[in-house]
Amino acid sequence: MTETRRAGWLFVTPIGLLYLLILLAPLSYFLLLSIFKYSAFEMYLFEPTAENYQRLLFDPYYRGVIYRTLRIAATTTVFTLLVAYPLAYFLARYGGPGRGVLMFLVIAPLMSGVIVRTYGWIVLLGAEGTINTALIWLGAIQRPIQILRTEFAVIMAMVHILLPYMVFPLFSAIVAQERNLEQAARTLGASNLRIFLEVTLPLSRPGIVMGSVLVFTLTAGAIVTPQLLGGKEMKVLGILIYDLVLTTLNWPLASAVASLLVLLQFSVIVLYFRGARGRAAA
Amino acid sequence: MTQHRSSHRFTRRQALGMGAAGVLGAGLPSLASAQAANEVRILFAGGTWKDWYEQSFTNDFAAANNVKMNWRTGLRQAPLAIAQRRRPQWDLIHINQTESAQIGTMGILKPFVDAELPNLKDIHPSFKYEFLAGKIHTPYGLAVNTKRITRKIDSWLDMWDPAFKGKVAFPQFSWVGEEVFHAVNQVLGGSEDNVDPGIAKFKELFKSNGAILGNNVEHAIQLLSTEEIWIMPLFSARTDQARAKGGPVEFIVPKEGGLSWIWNTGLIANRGKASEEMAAKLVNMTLDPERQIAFSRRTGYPPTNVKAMKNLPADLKKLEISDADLEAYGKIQRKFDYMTMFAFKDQVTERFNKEVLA
Repeated sequence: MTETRRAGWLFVTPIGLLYLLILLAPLSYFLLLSIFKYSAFEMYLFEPTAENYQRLLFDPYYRGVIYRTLRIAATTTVFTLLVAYPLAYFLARYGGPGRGVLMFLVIAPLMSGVIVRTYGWIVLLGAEGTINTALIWLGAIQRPIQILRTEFAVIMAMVHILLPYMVFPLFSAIVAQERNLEQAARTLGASNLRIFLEVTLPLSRPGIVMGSVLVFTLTAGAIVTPQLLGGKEMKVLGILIYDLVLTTLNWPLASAVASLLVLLQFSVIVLYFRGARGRAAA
Repeated sequence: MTQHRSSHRFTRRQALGMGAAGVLGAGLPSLASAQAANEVRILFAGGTWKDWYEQSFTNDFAAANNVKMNWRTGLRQAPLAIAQRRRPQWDLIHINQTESAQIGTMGILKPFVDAELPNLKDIHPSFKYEFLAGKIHTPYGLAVNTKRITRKIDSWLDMWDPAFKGKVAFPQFSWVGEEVFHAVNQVLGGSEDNVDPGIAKFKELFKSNGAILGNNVEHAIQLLSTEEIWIMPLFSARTDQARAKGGPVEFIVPKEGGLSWIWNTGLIANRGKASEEMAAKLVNMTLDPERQIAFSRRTGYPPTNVKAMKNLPADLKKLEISDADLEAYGKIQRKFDYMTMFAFKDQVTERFNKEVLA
């Protein structure tokens, strides 16, 4: 083993052990639990069963929860990307003295807890909230419209909450681009739109992939925001796990849901990275 | 300033010995706690409730007994106690009578006995259960916006009035909704293992009358104080807090009976003698009349100790509860069969999610 290789292993070992301890061990535990039989008084019985996965995959109610979670996660990812890209582009290309302040403003929402930010959205979106009051005052509507307790409210709040997770990977990707490439394209007669579509955007792909993976996985596992802004029908996988663990005490089924969520998130990450690598190679 | 550096160097054998001791210490907390109870490990609710509890009990308790309070806060702590039942890591768990009966029967809690808790004899019989005695009594009924609802409200079933469409809230099952659902189900003739009447009725409430879910105390207060909701099941003092925040709401005890919650910390079993004694000492303090009056002043809820109830100061006289009040508050809840409720928890929750909420 070369000196460099040995040093490499030395650096990787502590984090590897940490992952083994805090990620793989609990993951293995709930994977195991997911194939045990539920019992109200014993929590679970050591009797292997496929019942939990059958219930999850073949019951229309649980299938609906899975579809809803994926739909919200995908929509949030797309909208966050659409909002974050121009912002990241501006931050990367704008070299003025205010850039630090703008960067701070992007990070600022992360300095308050997710519950505080979500309650802020309740104040804004409620029937008696700021938006409805303003619209009535402007004469645009006669009576409050239903914004709160809709999927739209959840997606809007998730986009706001997760914006920094998309902006910073994009910013890193855009700021690392060679500006000469754009100048070369311009010299060869390309329009601004074509330069963006064929040079800037493809070179931003690593940032897009990283930001999208972060936003997708965080949205798919979200609990607080969908629960507070989504209303009674907004059952997503995160809320389902929370309820099954804390209220129903059906841990085997909760473990099956958690395993499925991890599998879905992992599949999306693999597909995303594979797709991005494929396109880069092409 | 002189810096001291230890000249002691550990040999490999000593290091291994310390490692093994650490592993044993982590694996056998009960044994460690039996040697010296220098801390009380407590599973508790967070927010204002913890602040008031600290101010009324634990700040003084920790100082007087030279112990450190080790907290873990959250709404539902019973699952953790169940998960750790073979090797408990906590001394006390904040709980109500429903969950105390359920996890007590599973052997997780120690019974409340006079020998360990001298103040227990002074607690009103309505607030004493096998595994818990309330430090407080929290009456539960309907919070009603009296500005928007002018007709008389005196029944749980008033929530179904079409005039309140879109203005009704019901607590989440993960909060206290499960018990309130069972209460209404019983009013409708159902039982813990027959929830058909409740499911059918609540389907109407959510589908036809546009009810929404209240997630917790803060959410309920926000819904009522902004008048987004006009009627919902709630605790008496939390209704007062919603009124203080601008919501024109009053607390009503329905004629079918309200719910009579009692809250305190249950004594977790198998924690070792020293820890269990220290935990019991703290619980006993929560049953003390003077301490209960101080807690009542902070929370706005009536005490459970008979001496405290008789000696309420003038400013707290409004908290006095008559025998008739007691009868009305606990009318439905006293009939609950907690273990049947527990056995059917999974099925009832799933039916509620699928048939009522979806």
